[in-house]
Amino acid sequence: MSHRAFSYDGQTGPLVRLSVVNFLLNIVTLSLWRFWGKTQVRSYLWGRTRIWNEPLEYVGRGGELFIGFLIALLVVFAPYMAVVFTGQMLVAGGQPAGVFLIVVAQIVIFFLIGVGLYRARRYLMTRTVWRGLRAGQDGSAMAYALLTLGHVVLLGLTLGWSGPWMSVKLDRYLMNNTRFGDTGFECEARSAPLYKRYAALWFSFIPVMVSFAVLTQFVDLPSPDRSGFLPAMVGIYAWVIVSVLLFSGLPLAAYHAAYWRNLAAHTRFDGIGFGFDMGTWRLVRLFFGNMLITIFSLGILRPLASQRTLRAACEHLTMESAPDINRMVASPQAVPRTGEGLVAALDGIGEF
Amino acid sequence: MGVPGLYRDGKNARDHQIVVRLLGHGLDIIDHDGQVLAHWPKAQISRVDGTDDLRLACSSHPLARLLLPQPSPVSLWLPQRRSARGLWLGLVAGSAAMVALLAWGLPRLSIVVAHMVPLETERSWGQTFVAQMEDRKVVCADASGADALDRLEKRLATALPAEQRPTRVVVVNDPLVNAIALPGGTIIMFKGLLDQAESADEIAGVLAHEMAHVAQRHPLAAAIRSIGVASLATMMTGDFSALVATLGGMALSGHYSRTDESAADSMAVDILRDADISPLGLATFFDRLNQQGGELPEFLSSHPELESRRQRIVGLPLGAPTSSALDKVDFQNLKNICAQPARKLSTR
Ligand SMILES: [Zn+2]
Repeated sequence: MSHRAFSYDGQTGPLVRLSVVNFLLNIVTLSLWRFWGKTQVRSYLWGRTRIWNEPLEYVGRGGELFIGFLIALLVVFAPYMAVVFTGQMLVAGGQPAGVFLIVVAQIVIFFLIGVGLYRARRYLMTRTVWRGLRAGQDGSAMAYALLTLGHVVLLGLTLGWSGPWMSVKLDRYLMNNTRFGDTGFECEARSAPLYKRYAALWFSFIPVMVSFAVLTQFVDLPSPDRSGFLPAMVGIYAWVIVSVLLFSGLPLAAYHAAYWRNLAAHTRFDGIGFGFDMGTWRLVRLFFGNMLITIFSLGILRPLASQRTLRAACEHLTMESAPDINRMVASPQAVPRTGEGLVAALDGIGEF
Repeated sequence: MGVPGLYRDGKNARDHQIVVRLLGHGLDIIDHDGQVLAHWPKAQISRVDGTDDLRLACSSHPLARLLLPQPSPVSLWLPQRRSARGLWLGLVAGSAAMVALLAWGLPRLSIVVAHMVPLETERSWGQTFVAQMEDRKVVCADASGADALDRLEKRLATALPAEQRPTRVVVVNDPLVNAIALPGGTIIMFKGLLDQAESADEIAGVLAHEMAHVAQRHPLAAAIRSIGVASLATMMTGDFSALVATLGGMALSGHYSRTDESAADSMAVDILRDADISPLGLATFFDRLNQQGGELPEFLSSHPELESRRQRIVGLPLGAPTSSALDKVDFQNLKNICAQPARKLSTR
C-alpha cells in the first residue's frame, strides 16, 4: 500500500506499440481513426494513474469525439472558413469591408476557442472516473471565454503585466467549478506572490526583442521562390527559439514552477490541502524531453510525452490526507453527450 | 457458493463486500444478507484493462464495477479474447497501400479539383500571390524588349482558347536560370534564362512549356496538392506536427508531378508546332542545362528524366516548315529587356 496520494506506473513499451498502431491506422483511415486512437491512449494513461492506490478510469468513447468534431466542423469551422474566404475575396476586389469581416471573424473564433477549451475540459472531467464516480466541471463556458478574451486584451494594454493576475483568475474559475462526484474543489490562489518571478521573466524578454530587432535589421530574407528561402526561414525561427530559451528559458520555468506550486497550495478538496513541489530544473528537463520526443517522432510518439508529464505530476503532487470515501456520492448533474468538438477541429490544443 | 469480491455501484465511492454467482446467461451480485444487488447479462459484460485484479463492467450499469481477485474462475467463464495475430502485417500492408494510393491519386485528384475552381477565383487569389513578391522583384520594362516578348506570347497563344492563355508574361531582373507559372496565370521568366538562351526558339520553347502549365492549371493543382499533403500529414501524425507539415508543404509547393511535366512538354510541342516554331529549341535548352548540371530550374524539375524528355521531343514529328520564333533584332531586344528595370511586379 502506497502512502503517496498520486502515483503513475505506465510503461514505455505498450505505449509505443499503441502509438505506432494508431499512426498506421491513421494512415489507413486517412486520419479518421485519430478520435478512437486518442481515446485508447487516454484509457491507458488514466488506467495507470492511481489516487490513494485506486486507478482512474477513462470512460470516453471515440465516437463521442468524432460526433463532436463533426458538429464543430459544421456549426463553427465551415461558417468561419466561408466568412474568412468571403473577406479575402472582398479585399482582393478592392473593398476594405473585407478586412472588417475578417477581423470580426477572428475575434468570434477566438471567443469560440475559449468556449471550446472549457467544454473540452468538461468532457474530459466527466469521462474521468474514480471509484465509480465521475469528475465534473460546472460553471459557464461563455463566462470563461469572456474572461479569456479580457485576459488577452489586458495583456496588450498593460504590456503583459496583467498576466499572472488574469491567469490565476482563470484557473481559480476552473478549479472552483471542478468537482469529484458531488464534492467540489475550492481554490483561493492569489497572484501577488508570483509577481517577483514574473518581473524577472518580463525583463528577460528585452534582450530577446533587441536581438530579434538586430537580426531583422541586418539579414535580408530571400524571396519565397528562391531556394535560399526555406533555410533562411528555418534559421530565423531557430534564432527566435534559441534566444527565447537563452534569455527567458530559466525565468519562464521558474515562473511556471512557482505558479503551479501556488495554485496547488491554495486548492482544497473536501477541506484537504494539496502541495506541488516540482522545481525549476525538473520542469526544464520535462519540457525539453517532451519537445525532443515530439519533434523527433514527428508527433507520433506524443503519448510518451503525455506519460512523462503525468508521471512527473504524480511524483510531485501531494495531498494532505485521503478523502472520506463514505461521504463521496455521484453528482446528479447531466453529462455532455459529445466531446471536445471545437478543440478537436482546431487541433493542437491540450497535452492529452 | 459464489466468488467473493468487491462491488461499486457508481452512485457512491464505497466498496461493497459481495459474492458473485455465475449463471449460464449472466451473473448475480449478492450482498452478505443474500440479497441480489444486480444481475449482469453475460453479453453486456466487458473487462476493464490495466489493473492487477479482474475488473468487470456492464453496459447497462455504466459506472458500476466488479472487482475480483486474480486468478478467478470468472475469467474462465467469460468469453476468451481473440489474439491479434496478423494485425501488424495487415496494418503495415494497409498503410503502405494507402500511401501508394495517395501518391498515385493526389496528383490526379488535384488536377480535377483545380478545374472545378472558377477562373475568376483563381485569378484574384493569384493576385495576392503576386503581391507577396511585389517588394522583392523588379520587372524589366525596356519598351522594345517588352514588344518582342508580347509578339512572341501572342504568336504562341493564337492556338489556345482565350481562357487558357496566360494573363501576363513578365521578365524579372534576376540571375536565376528559371521560369515559373503562378496560380492565376502569371508567367515569370528570370533574366538568367534569357542570358543562357542562344536562340529565340529556346526561349519560345520554355515559354510554351510554362503556357502549357497555365492552360492545364497545373500551378493551382500544385498549390492544392501541397495544402492537401500538409493537412493529411498533420492529421495523421497527431496534434503537434503542424510545423513539420508546414515545412513539408512549403518544400512541395511549386513542384509539379512527373505527369504534369510530361503533359506540359507534349502540349508545349503542340503550341510550338501550331505557331510554326521548331520544338527543337526546347530540346536544345534541355540538353545544355543537362550538361551544366547545378541547381534545377522549375521547368526541368524531374532531373532523371531530362534526357528522355529531350528525346521524346526530338522524336515527335516536326510538322509544317518552321520559321524562327523571333527575328534577330527582336531577339536582341528581348535579351536586353532589363536595360530599363522600372516597374514593380504587381502593377500592370
Ligand atoms: Zn514545368
